Amino acid sequence: MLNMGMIRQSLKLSWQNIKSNKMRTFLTTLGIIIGVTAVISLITIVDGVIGSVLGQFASLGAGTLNVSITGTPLKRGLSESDMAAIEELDNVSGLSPTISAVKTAARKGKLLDSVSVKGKSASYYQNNDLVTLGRALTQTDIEQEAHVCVIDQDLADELFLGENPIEQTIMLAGVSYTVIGLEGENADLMTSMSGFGSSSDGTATIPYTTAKRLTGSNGITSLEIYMEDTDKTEELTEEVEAILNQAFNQKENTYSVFSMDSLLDTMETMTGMLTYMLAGIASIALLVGGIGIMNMMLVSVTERTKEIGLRKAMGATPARIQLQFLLESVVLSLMGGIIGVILGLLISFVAAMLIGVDFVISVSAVALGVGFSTAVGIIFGWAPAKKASQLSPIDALRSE
Amino acid sequence: MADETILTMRGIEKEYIVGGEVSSVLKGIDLEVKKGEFLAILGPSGSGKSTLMNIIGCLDVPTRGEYQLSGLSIGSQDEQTLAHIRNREIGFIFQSFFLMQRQTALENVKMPLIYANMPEKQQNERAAEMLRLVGLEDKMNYYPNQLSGGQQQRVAIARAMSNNPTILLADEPTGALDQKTGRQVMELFHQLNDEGRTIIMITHDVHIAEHAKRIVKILDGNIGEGEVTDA
Repeated sequence: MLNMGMIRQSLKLSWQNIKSNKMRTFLTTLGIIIGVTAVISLITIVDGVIGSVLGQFASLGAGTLNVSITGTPLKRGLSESDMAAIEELDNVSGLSPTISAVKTAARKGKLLDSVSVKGKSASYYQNNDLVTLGRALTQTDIEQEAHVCVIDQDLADELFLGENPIEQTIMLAGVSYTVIGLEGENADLMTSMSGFGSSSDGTATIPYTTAKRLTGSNGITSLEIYMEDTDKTEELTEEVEAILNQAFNQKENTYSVFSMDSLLDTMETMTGMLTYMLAGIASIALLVGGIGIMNMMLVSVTERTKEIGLRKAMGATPARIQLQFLLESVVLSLMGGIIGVILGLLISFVAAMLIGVDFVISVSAVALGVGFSTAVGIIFGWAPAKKASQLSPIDALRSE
Repeated sequence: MADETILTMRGIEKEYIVGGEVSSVLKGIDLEVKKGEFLAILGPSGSGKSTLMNIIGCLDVPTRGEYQLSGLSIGSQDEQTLAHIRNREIGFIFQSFFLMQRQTALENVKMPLIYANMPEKQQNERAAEMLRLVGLEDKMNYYPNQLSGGQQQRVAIARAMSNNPTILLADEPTGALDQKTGRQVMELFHQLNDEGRTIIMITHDVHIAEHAKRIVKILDGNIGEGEVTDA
């Protein structure tokens, strides 16, 4: 019944009408423009921020399993043989146990009370590019329980202000250590997140074997496992759990294995929900815009009653009249939608520059904006168009 | 062929319900119109002539009676079919022209062709031809407010003829014009009638009605032919 020619003709008429009422068209479309701008910019900005945050998380912790042990009264932490068993698993490229303690540090009569001392392995430095000066811990340091340390910038500032700390000696808990490396600002995310080592005096990292002796601890309670293939996170998690299960006598709540990847998944789900919630709130503006369009279309139908009568007298069927008014409403809101998409992207581009996050055009947001405004045009244009199509031609002609 | 009857009305009645009471506007109209006729329907206001025009023009359907137009029975048709019939069979000419103010003369004349789903190129050719026929070939791209009343009515006549309808149906076509332009419009009607077009004109003005070749009078919903007296 409808063909392209009809639609083109009706579009032309609609466009003529929209054009001839510029001010009213603008004011009517404003609601849609604001709604779509809000939806697009919110989604794009939130996407950008979340993308940046997740990216940082991923770069710091992807491909890592974190094991933390609460242990049993008989066995507080992992033994060397437990660790060896884990290290022999297929997908494991390295292990880094962490032993944390707060000790004193001293050099040349300067004494610091609360320096965070962490025991780490060579793998830790192989998997985290942290050392900016000197060298990292090596396997030899670990095996020899060497008295060497890598210090962070905070500690360097406290003890070596202005001096090169490399190859210098400091005292940790009264024992002398040689400084072999300096860590940059890029702090260990997991450590700082869990609240350890955030001491104001800084951090010194020593071989975990040395740390074990220093703290007198009889087991490893925190372990990072580095993976070769991050796609097999779940399999590795199960294998590690199997070993831990055996090590702790089948008592499951004595340990936990957790991967950054699963954390990322959870965060992505949560932020996805947040995005949709924001879009939902912003679409209230779209709803208001739609009501504006409906109002304007109803006014337009009343104003053009005579025109409708004339068109009917000239042979326009009710369907043609309805099509014309419906297209007019769709063109109106689609115009608002397109302007809104452009404005929204501009706003989020500027916002991304200001916040300093990536600007990514979200195709789904653009599609949502355009699709939503078309839908608004159809939904809110339907009733006025129906009303126009049902006018009696005589009454319409007589409405002079 | 000249005697071919294109319009037949038998006992047409139209009633409206106003305030719960039945008001009878047309009380049994019989009318026949042959192809090529120039007919005036003369009647004072309130005589039912507008209602009759609406029924002839398929804008309205009778309450009772039979109306046949070009062999089609009107009355049992839905609004969509009536729209198609109006498009093909009737060319409306209104007292106040009813031109779209934001469209050029040419675009106005194209309106019935759009609803006839004619290809656009053909629409333009046909509309231009119609404007030539009414002597406005040099005003095709003028807007109605750039034209005089007489010229506007010519555009309306060109529009009425554009889809080559069976009947030109004119409602007080000179009502909004001064005497001189009114006469010119009547001359155009004569010319179109001479070319074989069927014209039905509704008026209250006996001088205008006298331009027609046949006059029927309508009074209080009844129709009668014969001596012309002033309505």
